[in-house]
Amino acid sequence: MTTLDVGQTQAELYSETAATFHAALERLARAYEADPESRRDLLQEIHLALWRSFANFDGRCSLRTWVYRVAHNAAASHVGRQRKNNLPLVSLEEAEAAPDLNNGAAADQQEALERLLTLVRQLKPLDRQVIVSYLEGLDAAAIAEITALSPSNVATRIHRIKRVLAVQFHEGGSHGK
Amino acid sequence: MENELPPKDLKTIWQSQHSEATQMSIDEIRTKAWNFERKVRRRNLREYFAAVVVAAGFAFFAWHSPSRMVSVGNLAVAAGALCFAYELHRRGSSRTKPKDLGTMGCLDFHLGQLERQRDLLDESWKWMIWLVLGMAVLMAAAIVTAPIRKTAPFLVVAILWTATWFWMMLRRNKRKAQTLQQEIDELSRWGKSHEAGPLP
Repeated sequence: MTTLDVGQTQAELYSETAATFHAALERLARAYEADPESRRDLLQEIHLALWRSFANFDGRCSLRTWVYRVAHNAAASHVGRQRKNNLPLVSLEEAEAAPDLNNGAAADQQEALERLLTLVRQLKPLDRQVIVSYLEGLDAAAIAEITALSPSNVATRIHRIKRVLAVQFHEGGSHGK
Repeated sequence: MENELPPKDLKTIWQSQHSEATQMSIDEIRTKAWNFERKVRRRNLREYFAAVVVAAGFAFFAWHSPSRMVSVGNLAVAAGALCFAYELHRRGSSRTKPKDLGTMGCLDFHLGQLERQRDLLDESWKWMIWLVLGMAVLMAAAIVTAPIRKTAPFLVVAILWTATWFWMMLRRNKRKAQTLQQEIDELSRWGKSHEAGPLP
């Protein structure tokens, strides 16, 4: 985990964050926006939100938790503003019950990634935040801190996520046959 | 199963996505933040200025009105414009602060967003009523004082139309606020529960 000195300036905190989390933030933006142009805007919005938030960073939580909270909250607001024209979002349970995401087995990594992104982008904000954090390799305690869900709730969500991923990525369309 | 991709592999696939965006320098982000804040300040100033101009205009008409009824109507519209400006200011200052994005967990932040939307819908009548009442009084005054009685039916229709529009807006907003409240209640229950059922 990233260590930090509370006395760091806004610019130092931002530089450290940009260097450490740039790729993760880009992946996070991909989870919220399919359109490349809108995604660039969202990524800029997230960076701007981070820069502004660091003026008040007091070190009460880890830098990683702060960065993910800011990024997810900024992205969720962005999605909320664009929601009017989008398809309705679903919960993990509904995603699990929808086998039509798969049209056969994933032929390669790129196809698997596309499927994964399609699945993630259709989830409701909180489920999306949990699944993205899980895919980023965060443990249940870290996800609970970011999302403010109880650790047992997060554990249950992760269990469901694993089930959904297993269903969606098992031999393509075999589920539900 | 031959084509199975266990979650562990999916994590690897997820994390190995190639990067396509370039990083911003400190100067760039500083400029963007400054531009953003200037944009918000200018937008707020424009809105306040517009409200003050409308209020001043109607106050002027109220002062120079031929009858007391017309004066009351004009003053009500002026009050409506000021109420509108006040609400803009209040809601603007309660809008998400940069700090909140980092201090609030996603669940609390989401709940906060829903509550703000609910309050906006629930309290919309407070600033709309002055404008609507003012307009209604002005139209009623026009009927009473109209030299040509032929215009009266049109004004009656206009008053009825305004009242119906107001009532329908209130009903629609109330319904939407109730739906949001249900979402808030379910989400609060869900967030606190230890046994996480389906996400509302």
